[in-house]
Amino acid sequence: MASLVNADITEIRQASAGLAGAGFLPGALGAALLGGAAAIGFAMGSWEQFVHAYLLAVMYVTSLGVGGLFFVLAHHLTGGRWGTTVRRLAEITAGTLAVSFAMYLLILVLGVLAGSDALYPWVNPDMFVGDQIMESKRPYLDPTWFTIRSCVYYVIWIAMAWTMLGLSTRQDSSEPTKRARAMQWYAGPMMPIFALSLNFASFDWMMTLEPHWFSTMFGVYFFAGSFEGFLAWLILLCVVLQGRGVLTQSVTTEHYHDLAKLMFAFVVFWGYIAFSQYMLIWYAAIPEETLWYDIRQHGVWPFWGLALAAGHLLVPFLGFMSKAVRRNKQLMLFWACWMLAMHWIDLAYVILPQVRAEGSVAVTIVLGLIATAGALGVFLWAWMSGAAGKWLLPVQDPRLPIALSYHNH
Amino acid sequence: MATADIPAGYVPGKLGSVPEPWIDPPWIEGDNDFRSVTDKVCRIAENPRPPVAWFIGFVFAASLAGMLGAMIGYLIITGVGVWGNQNSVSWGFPIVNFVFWVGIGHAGTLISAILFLFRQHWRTSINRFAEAMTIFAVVCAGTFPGIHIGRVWFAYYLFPIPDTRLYMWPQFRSPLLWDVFAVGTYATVSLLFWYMGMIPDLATLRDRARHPIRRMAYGILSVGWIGSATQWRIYEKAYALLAALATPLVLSVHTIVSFDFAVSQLPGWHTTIFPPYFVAGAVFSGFGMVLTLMIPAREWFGLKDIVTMRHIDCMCKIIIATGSMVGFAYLTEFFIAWYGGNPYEQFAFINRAFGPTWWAYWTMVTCNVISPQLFWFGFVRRNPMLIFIISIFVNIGMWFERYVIILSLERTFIPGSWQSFVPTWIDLGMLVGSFGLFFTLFLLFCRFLPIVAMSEVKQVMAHVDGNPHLPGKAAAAH
Repeated sequence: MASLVNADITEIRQASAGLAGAGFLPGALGAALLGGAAAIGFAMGSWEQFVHAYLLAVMYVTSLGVGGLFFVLAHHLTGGRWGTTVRRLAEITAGTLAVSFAMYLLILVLGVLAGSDALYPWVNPDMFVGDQIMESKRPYLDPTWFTIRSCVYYVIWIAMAWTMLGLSTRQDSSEPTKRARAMQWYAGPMMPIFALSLNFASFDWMMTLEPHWFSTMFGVYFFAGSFEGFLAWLILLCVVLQGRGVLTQSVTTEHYHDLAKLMFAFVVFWGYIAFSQYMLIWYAAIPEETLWYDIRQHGVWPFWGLALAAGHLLVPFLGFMSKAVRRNKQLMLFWACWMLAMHWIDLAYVILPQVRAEGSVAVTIVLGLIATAGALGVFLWAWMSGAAGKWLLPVQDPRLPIALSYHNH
Repeated sequence: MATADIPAGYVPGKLGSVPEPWIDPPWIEGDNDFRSVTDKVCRIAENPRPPVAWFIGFVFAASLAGMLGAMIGYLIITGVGVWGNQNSVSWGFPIVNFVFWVGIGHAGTLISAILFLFRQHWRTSINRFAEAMTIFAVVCAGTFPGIHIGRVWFAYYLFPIPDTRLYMWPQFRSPLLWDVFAVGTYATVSLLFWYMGMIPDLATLRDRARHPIRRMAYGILSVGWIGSATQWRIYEKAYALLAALATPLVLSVHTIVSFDFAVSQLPGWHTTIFPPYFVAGAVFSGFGMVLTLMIPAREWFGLKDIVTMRHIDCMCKIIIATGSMVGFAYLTEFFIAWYGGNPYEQFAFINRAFGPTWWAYWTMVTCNVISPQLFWFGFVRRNPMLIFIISIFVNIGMWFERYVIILSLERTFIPGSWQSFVPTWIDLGMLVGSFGLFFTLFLLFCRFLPIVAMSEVKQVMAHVDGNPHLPGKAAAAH
């Protein structure tokens, strides 16, 4: 394998500057789909369904960016090596958080600041009246304070993602060793900040959809799903890029194998977290806690829960347990798409059952699908314009030779 | 890999001399080759007269273990009233000690299973040591629930024995029963893993043994190992399989232990983050104990070339990671207790931090969350004395963590039932005695078994092809 380092480079390693323009099509299509979903929601009198669907869409693309940020931070903090070949792809993914923030701002405007309680019931001050539990949460669930917090989370993440991306791209042209050290240095303080902000962001954005409900595990649950979703996205991205002649030599079977192993680990970790949260709440049967699962035990949602248990844990657990599967690019492409779909089902299970308005659940789900497709279009545009003109590999990183010649044993 | 792995200007034994942190130095330092590693490790078990410090340590530890035995005898004859347990705090020291010791064992399992799967080569110098700790910690842990059931002669009730005369089956919905299975599985797999990994090294001791009794004893233990290619192939396969099997055990055991508390409706106990938080805490405490034992052991047994400052550095980093996770959980718990709006839950947390036993809470926070943060600084991670002191803090902090959880029982829903917990001298004696038991077993291990996995260390040495310290390799490196 070591010969790869000295082999003639026939792969494409740099994205063309025109990629941003090429991304306009999916971006425009995505924006149109989001607009279409809003129009359908408005026309059918399903505004509440739409805002939930929109939150789902934004959370989905945000989770991929957050997963990318975690990958970058963990890579530097642990002195990672094999990850060097895909590090730039992760950095660009983390960089899309700025666009996710732009999409999220609409939630703040429509869902929080406009005074409509279609998304968050606590926006309505009547909710606090005569409810002792809610009364104690009033200072926290305040629209202005909530807005400040939400913006702070995004600003922190974008600052971290851009710092890393900036250092990394500058590393391509000058002082690679110094930059590598700098990234490793920054990763230290960034990690605890990342952990705390993600924890509170998931409490704010998704846990407060049901204002009475609480679970200390919720932040970890969102993190586990997000990172697993990101890994699936990264595998998908590598396969698609390699189909276009990009990084065909640098990203080897060994890297797929390791990404797949990590994804396998997080499939199990997600299952562990999801089960523990459910089991403890079911066992203790405390009303403020069980009410969240109670909502999900009516209508179509029990089937979603079972679909998650099977599709997000048991089936993939058996599906890519084998080394032969994890080293097979085409099969891993299938599993990456599968896990991305499951990650959507997971977030939909968290967000969509909170729609209180009467009406068909099918409408909510269809709106969720359209909105997510739209947000993914915008996300794709953000990714492509973020990548435009950049090296897709940290070409000067001192760890690159080790990563390129790396093999599992 | 080859020569790229040996940085220019690298001085063996000098941590800061490695120019780039992402380049592996040779994990074994000094002028060592395969033979000198074998000699250094085997000498510890072969030396006819162990160091005086060993004798002093052994006599001291064995006396404490004997005291534990005597106290258990007294407990069985007299009854569980000899403990400070009472109506409110019905689980006192026994459960605290149980959880503490089970947690200690987790470093061994993490090192042998998860770090193996993560290809962390630094594990090879410390895995045997940590795995042995796991076994001895589980022995200490298992003692406490065993004697806590009151009528120890009915301990077999815990097992689902199909007996119609018993008219009694274990309560399968109780996490205490799940503990029996979780800890039982853990002990079994850990023991297998430890023993199987030791077979090639036991064979080395057998081959070097001069006295016939020694040769026979090591011969029986090494089950006919001759180091043939077939044996190695089967061995490697079995090792990887056991590592994969032990990986879920790193999570499952302390998850079940956390269920003991978290399935209840008790404020301060029922919180969903308990499972991963307990697992992180267990690994944290385990690494604390590995450092506590390793730092003096490498000094006394002359293992500084094999367990280098770089190994210690890696362990310190694991301590920062897991200590920070534990701190994250404390914060989340506290926040959700407030956010949840349940006044009982809120009281439980305020009471922990500012109630009569505030000192226990802040001892826990200082030792577990604040002290490991010192490891962010390189100079702390290079100072064995400081590391040793912090590792002691970690041990203290993690014992207090469980103690703080137990103290939630002092003040529950009805103020009329509030009662302060005061440990008796038996409680304290048994805690100290359990350390005696642990150290007795540990010192015996150091005396008779290979405390470093020689065969695995050699694989790491051979793996670094350009290691200038291997005979015949010096030319290739330069």
